[in-house]
Amino acid sequence: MSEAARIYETVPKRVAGTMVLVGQPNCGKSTVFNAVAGYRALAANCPGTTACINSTQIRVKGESIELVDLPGIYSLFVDEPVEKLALNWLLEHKDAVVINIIDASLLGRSLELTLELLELGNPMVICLNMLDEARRKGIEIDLPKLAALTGLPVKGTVASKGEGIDRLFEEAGRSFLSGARPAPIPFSDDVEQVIRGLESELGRVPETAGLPSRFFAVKLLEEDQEVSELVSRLAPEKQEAVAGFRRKLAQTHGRESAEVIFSERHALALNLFEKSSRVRQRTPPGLGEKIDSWLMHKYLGYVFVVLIFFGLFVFVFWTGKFLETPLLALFGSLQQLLAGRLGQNLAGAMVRGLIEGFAGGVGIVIPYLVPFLLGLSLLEDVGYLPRAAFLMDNFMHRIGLHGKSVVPFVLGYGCNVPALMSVRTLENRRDRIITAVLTTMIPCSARTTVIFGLAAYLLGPAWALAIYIFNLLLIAGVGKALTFFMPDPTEGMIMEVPSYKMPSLRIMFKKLWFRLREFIVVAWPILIIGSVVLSLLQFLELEQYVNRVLSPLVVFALGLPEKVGVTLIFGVLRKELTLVMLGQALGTTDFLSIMSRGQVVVFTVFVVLYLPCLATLSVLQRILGWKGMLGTAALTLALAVLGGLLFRLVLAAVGYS
Amino acid sequence: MTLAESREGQVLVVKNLAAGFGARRRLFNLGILPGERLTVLKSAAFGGPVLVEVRGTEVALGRGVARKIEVEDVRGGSDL
Repeated sequence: MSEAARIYETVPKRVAGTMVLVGQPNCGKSTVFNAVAGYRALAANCPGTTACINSTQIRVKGESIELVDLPGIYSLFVDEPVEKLALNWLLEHKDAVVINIIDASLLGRSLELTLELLELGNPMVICLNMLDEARRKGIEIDLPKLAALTGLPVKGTVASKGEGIDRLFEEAGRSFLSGARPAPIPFSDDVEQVIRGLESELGRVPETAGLPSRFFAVKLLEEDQEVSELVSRLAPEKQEAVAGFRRKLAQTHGRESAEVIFSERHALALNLFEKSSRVRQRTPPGLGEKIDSWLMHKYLGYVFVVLIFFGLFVFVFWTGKFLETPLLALFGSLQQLLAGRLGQNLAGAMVRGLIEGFAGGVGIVIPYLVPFLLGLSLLEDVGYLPRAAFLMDNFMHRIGLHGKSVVPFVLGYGCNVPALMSVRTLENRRDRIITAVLTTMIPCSARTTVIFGLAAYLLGPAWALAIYIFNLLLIAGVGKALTFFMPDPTEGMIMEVPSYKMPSLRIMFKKLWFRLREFIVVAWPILIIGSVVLSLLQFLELEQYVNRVLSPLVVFALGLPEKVGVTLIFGVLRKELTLVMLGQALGTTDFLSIMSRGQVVVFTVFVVLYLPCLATLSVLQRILGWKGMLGTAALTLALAVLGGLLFRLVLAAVGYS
Repeated sequence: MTLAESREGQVLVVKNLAAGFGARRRLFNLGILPGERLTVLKSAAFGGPVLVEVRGTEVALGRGVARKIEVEDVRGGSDL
């Protein structure tokens, strides 16, 4: 199943109950999820990797339980679409056992969310994850003490090593069976008085809205927009009273009522933290700080960004080429062997298509996909992406965005689909639209295999690099143009930078398999079926009609052989198809015997830019709506034609053929 | 002074957040509140962002956001 499809996978409803992982971004929810479910949710050392709801079925204490992984949220104060997604889910599942995952090394801050969750009243368990990291930072937590202070069961885990997971779920199972609902921890007396007063004033309004009464009152004091709107809709006569309670709180504390609640919660959380933990004197600078003194250096940092991504490029190219050459030779001889035995009939054509599709997957795609995905996982799991975002913030401002948009961009090199999902972690609607449009222009791993398997393999790595750089310049230009039409200035970056984590080889290979399986299960069958269909079209001599229709674009505008037209149609399904089918369409794998070097460049540029694949378009439609999706599709098509034309003219002018 | 004028290595106390409601709330969530102590870890070149540490959390703040965070150097005064 594709990453896109898995995200909306629904679990059969024959479960006894639901458990849900809730926590702040990057506390390791998805790592806990994967530790129980096998690698089924994309996890990385970068806040906001999960921007959707994953679920799976597990067995706890003999009961069949649906386990849900929510996107990370700092608080229940809803601002970003991902937070809304998480909060709405929680409000709709009042019996779900909340497993509140906490990064133990950030306990003080994380307990603020715990306090908010307590106001929802679900059965709840605390999971202190990354206990090893906390110890390294000199934080010793007294788990039984924390349990006594919060009134919640507390279990420690190191999810990346699978430690403590069994005990955690056993505890969650106990909470599930008992159904015990914890009590909220009170604020200071005068605030509690205001909350109680507001609660009795509201009466049955929260119930009508389907929300817990105390939660409703606290949200109103926090000046939450949605809850305030509920009051104006359900009980407009009470608006004045609500304002009165807010004023009362503001007057006694000398600041806005929302800030009073935030600071109260902050103080309460720190108090719980200080009572339950001991922090040893600041430990000497760790390895992470030493690494950062280079990677995040004022000036050298930029050199390292370029070197790191260039290193990834070189690694992919040489590994891929090393693997591709012998594999292609092998399949070439197999095809020759079979060519003599298969007649020019329908069955023969189908078998030939089958082999072409199969060989394309093993011979061309996998050699580049494997090293690329490994390299990307390494960058993600170590925690480099947020640092790249920090360094690139400045440049991103030039194209009207800020550093946080770098994360979807880099994820987009893997696959545009999860990258578009992560766009939802941006705060501002305008930023989300521009970032989403630009993300679809990032050459994903499928387009990467076309760049490497075609341009780099045939013409040398310099051409691949040139195409990547051209692509980046084009993205910057489009960003700049979109900013011209949507000029609202962005608020600027506020982003957590997590500490470096030693990537676990076991998890990296599981992640590689998770992404590779997507290729094998979804893309490869499409490649094979596509090849068979093309073989049939060729056998029935139908493909020439398609080619003729496309000929004004392919031949007149781009100056390519008419035969390649049909591959572009299939490329919308999966971009790799264009590469796999090119051999079939041209009737030889020796592309350079039919296409000039210049034509190979133009073809690659066009394929990289034109229309994102169908899976990407469907996610884009959900984010931007039909108009935005169709507009983006038209834009990429126009850019592809212009880009191809530009390369054609420049190459002709310099005499490269 | 504001955080945008800070130097690497400075330890500062937050005085006031002059940002809008949304930005202020996000800063609160990451532990940046009036009275909290920040360490400036990095200040990027060319007017880029600032990286600060607050209670073990590292936060990257764009220059525009940093300009709205009023701070005071604690090394100068009595260190309570």
